[in-house]
Amino acid sequence: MSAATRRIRALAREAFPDWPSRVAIAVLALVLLAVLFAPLLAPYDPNALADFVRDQFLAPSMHHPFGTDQAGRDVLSRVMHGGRVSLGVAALSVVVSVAVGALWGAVAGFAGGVFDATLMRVSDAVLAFPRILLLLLMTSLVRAPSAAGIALLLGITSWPGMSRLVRAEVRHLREQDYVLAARALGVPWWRTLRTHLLPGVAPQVSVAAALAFASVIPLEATLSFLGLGLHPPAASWGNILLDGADQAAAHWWLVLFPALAIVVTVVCVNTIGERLQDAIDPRRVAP
Amino acid sequence: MSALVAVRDLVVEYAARHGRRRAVDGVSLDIARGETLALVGESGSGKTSLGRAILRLVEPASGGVTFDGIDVRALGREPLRALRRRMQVVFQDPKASLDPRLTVGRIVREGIDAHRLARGRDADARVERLLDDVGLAAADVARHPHEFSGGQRQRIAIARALAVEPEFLVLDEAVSALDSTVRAQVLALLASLQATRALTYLFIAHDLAVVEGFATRVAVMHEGRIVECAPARALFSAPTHDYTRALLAATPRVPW
Repeated sequence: MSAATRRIRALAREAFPDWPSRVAIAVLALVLLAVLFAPLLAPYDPNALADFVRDQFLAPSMHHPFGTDQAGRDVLSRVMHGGRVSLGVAALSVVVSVAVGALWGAVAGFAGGVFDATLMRVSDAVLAFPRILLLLLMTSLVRAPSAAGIALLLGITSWPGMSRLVRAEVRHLREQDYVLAARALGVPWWRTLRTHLLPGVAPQVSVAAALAFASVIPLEATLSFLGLGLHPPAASWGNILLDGADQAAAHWWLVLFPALAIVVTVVCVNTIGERLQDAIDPRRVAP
Repeated sequence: MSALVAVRDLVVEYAARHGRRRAVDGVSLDIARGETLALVGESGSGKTSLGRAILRLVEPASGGVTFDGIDVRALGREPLRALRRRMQVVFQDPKASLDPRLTVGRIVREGIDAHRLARGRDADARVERLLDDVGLAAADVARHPHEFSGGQRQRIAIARALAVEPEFLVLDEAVSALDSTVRAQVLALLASLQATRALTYLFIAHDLAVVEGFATRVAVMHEGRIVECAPARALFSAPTHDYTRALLAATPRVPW
């Protein structure tokens, strides 16, 4: 797979030539490390019930860089641990969305005809509902969903967009002479899908997945903020925001830091995703 | 002369903005084993559609195609897939007909794998032999299509087609995109492959000059119909149809 590696390297060089994208990668890497290794790196136990008369609402300081909340818990530690939930849920939901959407779209685009029309009307129907309404409806049906449950809900409300993208791309690739040549050779359709079509849509799907990841983080936060997402003590960035919301006027650090975590992560992921999108833009001349 | 390919009253239609457009309008022709039938006509005359309908890459609206006595239109999925081994195609633009993500080795192997003609080392050896046959190096298996010139890419496409050991090859404007020296080289390759492998060619071109000296017979296509079909020499020296004359008059006569 040295060819694939070379391709990825070339793409990376081409994709990130400017400082904003490099800063985005660096910052995102930092966030991911902090979140991933939160159990090792976090200065305090995120759920420790300390002496909260003494430790309640401490402003940011050397000991507590992000301050403490009403229960005297360290906000930095909570944000680091909360990121595990937020980013984990977002990643899992993107996996669901890509798996369902790519398969759906690839089959529709490849098969064409009535089959295509039927599959796409189904995805249109899901797409026609505002996503947040769909999520509100579904979360009201599921009591106290787990993190995986939330991810599943977020994933199954976002696959139609992914399926449209994959379908359009597959339809485009299907018309290529090399696909016709494969048919003339007597290559079975599933093998054509595997060798020519799915690798062909992979770059677009990765970009879409990055952008979907960026968009699902605030969505999960919204659900949690509305009290429809995860339930305590599990805390995502949205839950932390919710906890701090009624104290925000007096204790700004309770909302600023979790909000910043969301915004910074989303901006970084979006920047990277957009650069990747530019790099694989088919209108640009192939090497 | 027994016909390897026999086409009868073939009609190919495409959905157009208003109703249907006939690309091939009742064509009958025979292609004898071992010959090169050139199919000549301007773009839009239906040559490509005819070639693809013979290979059943497009479904004809009506008419019949037989290949070595087999009714191509009546075949189900698996028998058709098996028959595809015997008839192959080389397209005009090797840039579009070779998947840019695959190595030359994988491209040439595609048919070998699809028909399970060889496995592992045997398949590798086969690919290398094919590359050698079309004038490429065995080491080229690891390279990608974009590393090759247009003529070399067309050689890769020819190797891919030959990998399944076909008897019949549709050369759909296979040399039209190449400049004249390279074109002459590829034509020479095709001629020698035809001799060593007993191939039958349907050679589609828009340019009569390319056809002269290469084709056994020439069929001239115009607006979906064959207006004239004659042995190459006769057609060039004494064209009978007005359209053929016009086409000849528009062709610079370069000795091949």
